[in-house]
Amino acid sequence: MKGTIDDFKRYLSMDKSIKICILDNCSVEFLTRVQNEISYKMVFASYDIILIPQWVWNEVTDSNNRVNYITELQNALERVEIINEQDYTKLVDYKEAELYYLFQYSCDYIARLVSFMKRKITKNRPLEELEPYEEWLTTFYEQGLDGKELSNGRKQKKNAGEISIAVLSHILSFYYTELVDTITVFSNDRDAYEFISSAKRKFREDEKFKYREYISITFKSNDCLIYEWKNSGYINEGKLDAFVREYRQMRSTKFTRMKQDKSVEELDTTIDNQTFLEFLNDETVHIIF
Amino acid sequence: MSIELLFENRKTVGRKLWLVIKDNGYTKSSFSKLTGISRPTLNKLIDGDINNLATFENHLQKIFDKQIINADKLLKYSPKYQEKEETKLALSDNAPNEHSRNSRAQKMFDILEDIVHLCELYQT
Repeated sequence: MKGTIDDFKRYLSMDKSIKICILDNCSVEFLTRVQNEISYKMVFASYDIILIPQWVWNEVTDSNNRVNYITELQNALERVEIINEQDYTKLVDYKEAELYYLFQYSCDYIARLVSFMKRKITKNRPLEELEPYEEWLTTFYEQGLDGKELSNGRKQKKNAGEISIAVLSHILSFYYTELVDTITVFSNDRDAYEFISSAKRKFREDEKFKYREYISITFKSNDCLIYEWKNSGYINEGKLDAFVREYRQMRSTKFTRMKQDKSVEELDTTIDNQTFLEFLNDETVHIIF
Repeated sequence: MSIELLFENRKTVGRKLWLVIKDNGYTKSSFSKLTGISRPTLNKLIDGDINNLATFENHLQKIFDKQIINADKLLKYSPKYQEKEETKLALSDNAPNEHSRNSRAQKMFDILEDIVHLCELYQT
């Protein structure tokens, strides 16, 4: 990060409609691969600031290509910030009991993690008696998440990046409603989508959160990006087929399709490249993730 | 609201302060960090056990300075949220320190834990 977390908070309070992009490692990898055809200017023109949580950054640094891409981005756009999870407490003005809920609800997608938090962090105490955030955050990432050591010596933690993204996006969504216009998560990882979506359901059930104003969190998966680039004319129609075959793999895609009576069906199914190419020219289809 | 009146009602002030901390999503630790009041002093303030007016005023002022609540509203404060009855979960592990379960037993415990969590979800 170029500045401190206080600089970042000051930056947020300077404008009234900031458009934020939060980057996941898999999207950085994808953007690195397509960069000869799609420049970062085309990708990030709509955003004022790009955020990368520290745990995602740790994953980015496993590849020189990804680090070079982000470094170029930082030099060109200025506002690319790596946010350490330890600083989340400052972003919520030290409301650490609420921050605990942001973590617990973001983990709701994985029952084992919620159990871990209850056993090892709250320990059946009132939340107001929690240890300092820095301490329980370390317990959570070090003991709660499965991990393995990579060949480069880095300790990889399963879902650490996705959880960091989910919590950061919810912080911005709930605590910066007056200042932020858009929060878009660039990720092709279904877990990132599910962590955020299942947390939203929990917030709707909790009276501490359900009446609060919030900013919607939106997503751009690789499929959404290709769809956008095609519609913006960044990918030539004649090269579309080759582009999709080169850079896209068969994946589970969430989308809506308008039926003949104008009702909309929601679908979530594995889409191969041929079907995806048909989607790109089908005005009744809208890709969600 | 005069500081003398707050001091006279320091037990009530303490109870109200505890509600302010809970309702606003702080922990004792984070509230202490935010206001610069040490944890032991914060506990005394919450328990209404600060018996020196100057000390009492000094610490309350730190809270007012952070604009979390003002003197007029503190004594009249009423809780924003109903107390939610959380499911109580008791776990006991009396295995020796160096003991590690075999993989089959560990798997069984993991399944049990998931079942407990599911019960909790459906109960609420």
